[in-house]
Amino acid sequence: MALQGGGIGAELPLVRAIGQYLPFEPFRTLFGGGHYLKDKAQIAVKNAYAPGNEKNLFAHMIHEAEKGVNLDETDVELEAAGLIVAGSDTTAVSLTYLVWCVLSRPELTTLLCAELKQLPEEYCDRDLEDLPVLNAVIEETLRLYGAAPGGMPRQKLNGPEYLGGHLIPAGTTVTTQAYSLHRDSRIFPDPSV
Amino acid sequence: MIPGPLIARWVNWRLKLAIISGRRMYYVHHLHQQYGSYVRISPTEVAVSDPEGFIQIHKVASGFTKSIWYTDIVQPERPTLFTMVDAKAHAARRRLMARAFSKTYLRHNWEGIVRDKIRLAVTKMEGESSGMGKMDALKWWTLMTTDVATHLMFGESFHMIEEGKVSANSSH
Repeated sequence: MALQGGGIGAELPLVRAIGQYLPFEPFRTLFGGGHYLKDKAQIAVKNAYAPGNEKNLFAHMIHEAEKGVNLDETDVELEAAGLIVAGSDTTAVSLTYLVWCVLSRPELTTLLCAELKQLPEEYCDRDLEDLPVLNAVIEETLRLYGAAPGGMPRQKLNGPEYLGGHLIPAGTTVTTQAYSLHRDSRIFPDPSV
Repeated sequence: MIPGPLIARWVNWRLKLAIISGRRMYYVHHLHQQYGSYVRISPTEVAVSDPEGFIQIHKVASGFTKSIWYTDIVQPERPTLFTMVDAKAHAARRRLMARAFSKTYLRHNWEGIVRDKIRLAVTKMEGESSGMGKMDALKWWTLMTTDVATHLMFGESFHMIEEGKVSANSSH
């Protein structure tokens, strides 16, 4: 919700500006989500600084930062909140598509199960790297149904540039959406399979 | 002249309409099929689906940097790794996080914890499907990935797999 709110806010600033003051719960959740997540992210800071406490990824970051880089608690909170948003729903959606892709192709299901059965009883993450079918399934799921298929907008500010024979003036936003590139038959023959 | 719908040269309304209805990606894809690899989709925006163009834009030191969209999406005065436009600041922040996100470090410190959560989620999925004959994969994967992410980032799990539902601790 918080990211949706952020996205809507970026696209329609006026809606966010008004939306966060409207006395309806959904609007508050949508546009106030950032504050809520930030509250939760303070747990990350507390745990990261606490000696002997259960570790998290940021204990490391803070340790590195103590060597002289400018980084304070707010930065850690924002990075932690950002990584929760970036890492949870996206992975869940991709996993769901992966299961659906495999189960809707019975031949692939058989092939994948046969490969997985060859794993030793106590396998680890390292062993999975060598499985060709499993890795092909992951790569193809990400190609067709990756959780962030959108634009990656970029701008060149210091002057115009030619792209594909077209003059792109400075400041123009250029977007390259994965959804289209991943379905390009020049790169992937038979792209929709 | 960059090809594209006539309206896009003057106003961004058509694109905004696609964005609001959650169909921007399909709309832009459709325009690529109609007009080719370079399409002007708004007065100030060009969509590129040419692999060569992609490389030219995204290669290191291409001169293209993250657009204003990234600074609009969150607190502009406090950029994070995701929103940082300045390449130098971004590289410095990345260096800070590099070790904690290395494969060796993650496997050594976190593989067991992540695996326990996966096992628990799969057990719960089995339970739900044997009772009801079907199960909600997206729900369980969401609870699992959120527990993993909160444990890694915050240092404590929200224990949502155990509860089987999105807990009050969550932001959803």
